[in-house]
Amino acid sequence: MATPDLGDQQIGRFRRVLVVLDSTAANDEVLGTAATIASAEACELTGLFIEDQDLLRLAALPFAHEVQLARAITRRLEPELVRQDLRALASQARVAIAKHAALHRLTWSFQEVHGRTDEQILLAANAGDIIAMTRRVGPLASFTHVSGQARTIAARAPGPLLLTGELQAARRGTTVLPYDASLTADRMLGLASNLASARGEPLEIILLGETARGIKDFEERIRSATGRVQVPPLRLLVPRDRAIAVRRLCELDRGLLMLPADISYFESAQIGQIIEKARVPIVLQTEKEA
Amino acid sequence: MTIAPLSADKLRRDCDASRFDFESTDDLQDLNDVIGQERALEAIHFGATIDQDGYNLFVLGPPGTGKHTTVAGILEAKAAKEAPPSDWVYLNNFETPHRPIALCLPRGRGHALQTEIRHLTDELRTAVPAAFESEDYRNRRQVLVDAARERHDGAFEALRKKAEEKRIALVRTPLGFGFAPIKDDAVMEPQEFNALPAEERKRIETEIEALQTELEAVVKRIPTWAMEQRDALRDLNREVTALTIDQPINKLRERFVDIPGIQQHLEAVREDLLDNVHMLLQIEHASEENPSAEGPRNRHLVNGFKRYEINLMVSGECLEGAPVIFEDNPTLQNLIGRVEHISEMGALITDFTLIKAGALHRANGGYLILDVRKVLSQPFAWEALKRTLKAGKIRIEAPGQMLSLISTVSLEPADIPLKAKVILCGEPFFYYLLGIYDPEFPTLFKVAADFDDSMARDEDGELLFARLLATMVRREGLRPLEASAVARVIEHSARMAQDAEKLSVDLRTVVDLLKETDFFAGTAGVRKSKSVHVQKAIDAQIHRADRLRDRSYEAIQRGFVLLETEGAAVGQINGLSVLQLGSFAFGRPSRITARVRLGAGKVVDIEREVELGGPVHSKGVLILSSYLAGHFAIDQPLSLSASLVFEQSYGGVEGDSASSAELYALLSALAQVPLNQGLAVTGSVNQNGQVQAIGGVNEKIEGFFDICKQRGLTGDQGVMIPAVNQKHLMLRQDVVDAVAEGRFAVYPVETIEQGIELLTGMDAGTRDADGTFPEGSVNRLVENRLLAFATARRRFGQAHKDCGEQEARNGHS
Repeated sequence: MATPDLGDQQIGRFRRVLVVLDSTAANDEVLGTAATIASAEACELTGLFIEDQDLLRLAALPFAHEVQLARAITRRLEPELVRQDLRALASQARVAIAKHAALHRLTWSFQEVHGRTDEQILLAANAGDIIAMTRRVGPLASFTHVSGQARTIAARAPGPLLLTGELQAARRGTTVLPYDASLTADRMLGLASNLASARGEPLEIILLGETARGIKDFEERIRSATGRVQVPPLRLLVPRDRAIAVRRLCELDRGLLMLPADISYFESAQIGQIIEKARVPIVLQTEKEA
Repeated sequence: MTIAPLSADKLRRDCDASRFDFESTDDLQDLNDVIGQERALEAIHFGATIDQDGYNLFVLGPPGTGKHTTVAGILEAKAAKEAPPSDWVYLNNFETPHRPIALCLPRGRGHALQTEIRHLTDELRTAVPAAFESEDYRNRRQVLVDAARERHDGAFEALRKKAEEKRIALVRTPLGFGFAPIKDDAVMEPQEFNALPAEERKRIETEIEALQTELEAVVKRIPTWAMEQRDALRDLNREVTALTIDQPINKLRERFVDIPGIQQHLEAVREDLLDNVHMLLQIEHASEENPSAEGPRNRHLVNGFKRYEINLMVSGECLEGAPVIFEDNPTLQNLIGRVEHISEMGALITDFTLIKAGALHRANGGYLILDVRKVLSQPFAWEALKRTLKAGKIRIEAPGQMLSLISTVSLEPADIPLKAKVILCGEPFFYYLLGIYDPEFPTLFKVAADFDDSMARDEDGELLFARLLATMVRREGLRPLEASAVARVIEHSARMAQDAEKLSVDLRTVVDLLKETDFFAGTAGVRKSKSVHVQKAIDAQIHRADRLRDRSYEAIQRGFVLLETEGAAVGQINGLSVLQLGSFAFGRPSRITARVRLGAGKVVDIEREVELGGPVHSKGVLILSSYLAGHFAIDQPLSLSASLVFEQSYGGVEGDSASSAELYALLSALAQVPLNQGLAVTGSVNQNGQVQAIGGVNEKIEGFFDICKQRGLTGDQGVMIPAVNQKHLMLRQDVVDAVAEGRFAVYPVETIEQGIELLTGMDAGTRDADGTFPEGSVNRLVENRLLAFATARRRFGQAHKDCGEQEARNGHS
């Protein structure tokens, strides 16, 4: 297999990391991971705070009530009350993004939008953006099946999508990329290498299917993908079969998973399973957007 | 009854070097015993041996007598045969951390325990993370986490799905959840909802109400689930930790099975590890990753692994016997120990590892030597020492804490039982003052070892002293002393003792003299010090210190201070006093004058009137008044008014050594008989006219001799001293030589009569059978004068009375 000439396209191709911050998100966790990626890619950090329309509609209903988690009590919801809460949350989000940006010495910006969460994310995202969001974004998200929403957004987003959240607390560890030599996988290779280098952790490439046979010098491939001479410590893994590869990815509990969302080696359900099970931040990307 | 002057050989007792059977101190053996202090040594041995409460020692004696060295030497020899003390450690008290536990261990085991505990924590640092990184643990933990998550999310998801079936959405709100009808996968707009038929709206509201009730029930269960999850994780962590720590802890238990108290502590350590080791490791890990955060604090403080450490306060491991500790700076904290603090974010914090031992801890099981002056001059030290001895245990308490001056977090370490002898060394007045003013002192320091400042100067004494000098010379690395030099040092020592029959045991001064002698011998380039070098050293010592003496004598020679050394004068005499300036003393002659007139029988001490005279001096004046009243005209009222003064004395006058001189002046003034100004007088007097002993006789004689010598010795000059002071004479060689050549004289006087005869050249006079003094005697003249005063006074009194009566009669008529 020939080494694709991706150097020019890869270097500096990300303009910003767009962090989705809403009333329900574990904002701090997602901000932390997003800031690390923005730092590795030397791009801007932008906060996108969404006032979800479903939430505001709920508040406007005549019988609207809220069962509070912290105190297990029910209170009457009023539109103005919800707006107050949202304004406070937006203010907190702005402070949080400023703090993370300062910590990583990043330029940053902050937007507040109103509408349906999914739509607003896609509207705000441009080419060259990495979208960062929690696994369950928006007020109507499912509790147990997050992969559907995530894959939908990933499929329609112009760039990679970072999924993280409270259960994916950023424990340091290997950056893992299942690699099938597809265009998406090659595109993710550069980002994976940069992130591994920035985090000072090894890069683990899981060579899927027949890929292992066709690749002779993976380091050269990475150099070509990143345009950089330095390559992070590299670990190549060749799973015996697909099930082992899926299990390996599902059991990840530290580091970062770079997952081509439309990787042909896995069945669609297996990709969903990996997204549901893996307990690490996941970067999803589909070929369409590359 | 003329008194003969003392012959030259009575003025100084020389040490005959030819008597010695050695040529130099090289030939003498070291003297390991203390000489001349038998009483004190017996007391020290007794005090050190008796095993009863309160039998601590107070070693009293003048400075330089070798109290410290002697006590330390005796105690070290005794302690070497005694068992070394046990080890004491402080341990963390896991239940009440501000009260660390004190534990006693057999000698040397404290260090072993400390090392073993360090090894344990080091081992845990590796073994525990490995256990928690194991696949088994991770899987089990994940199962618990997943189960909890599934239970949590599953409950909400079930509710969400149930609502979804009814076309109702479970909506996340900023603080919780709410329910709303949905249309086209979105929350229905309020206008649309309001446009629905009333029954439909009612149905939706009712269903939402029911769902809300269910949601409330789920939410209420969340804290229970969280607690159950925490408990399950805690149990898992304890189980995994126990597997890792039990084996090393059990090894420790076995190793220290014989030590009471250690099993309970190791159990407490185990329990604490089971609950906290995972957290401690996380803190350490975090601190390594982010050193600027809380990490370093946690690593070094008791909330890290430090809490398991052993604070080894004292260990007898390196000791061969019982400890003998000398604490040179007995501050409160140096005595009883202290709790140190470290600054953390502007606050002072501490823990049991910051407890530091004091001298009492180090001396526990042995002996502690302290300088009483230093103990008394340190705030709170004396009270703390007494409290500790009384209680028999050491309690560490900071002064700030005792006075409630500081409110920072501190500790109350457990008391440590004390079994030690405390030896206080100091000057005698401390012993007596404490005995008077501190009622606890006699109960705590029952044994006094009283060091003498001198020893007998006999043949044996001189030889022992010579061996002492030999020991000192060798110990200080000085040149050996020839026998003549030894003799000269012995003579000087007798002079220091102010007694020809005693030797001073002020060893510090003797050592200084030996060092300076060695210097002059070195300058002369000889291998052994000779008597000339000793003399040079003595002369140099005097010369360095005698500037004021020279100024004083110069003032006399230049006539600024009036003093006659020839001729005769009425009511005027040369008294002698001693000035002590630091370690140097010299005699200074002073003119004493007396004036008499008719009066009411009072002798005025002018020094006393202007408050320059001390009480002893005033006592002397009163005694001489009494002598006058008792010896002359005893059947007549004493009708004189006399005044006595030390001329040109502008400082204080104390002591009664001039009282005989004052009496001579007074007798001279009464008898109108001149006194020989070539003589100076010293000696106190009693009511019977006996002349009594005084101090500083050598300096006084030499003082007057120097003045006379500067003016030229006439052969008629001399000093009258109390006869009993003869034994104290150790005069300078030049004085002795002058006496031998008849150019100066020293008269031993026993009574006032003897003295007045010497001074006047007249018979003093003794009452005859009919009670009168012989004609022409001094006493007759004195008595006549006093009788004349009495008659005059009577006459004056009668005339005054007659005059008064006449006036009364005139007034009446």
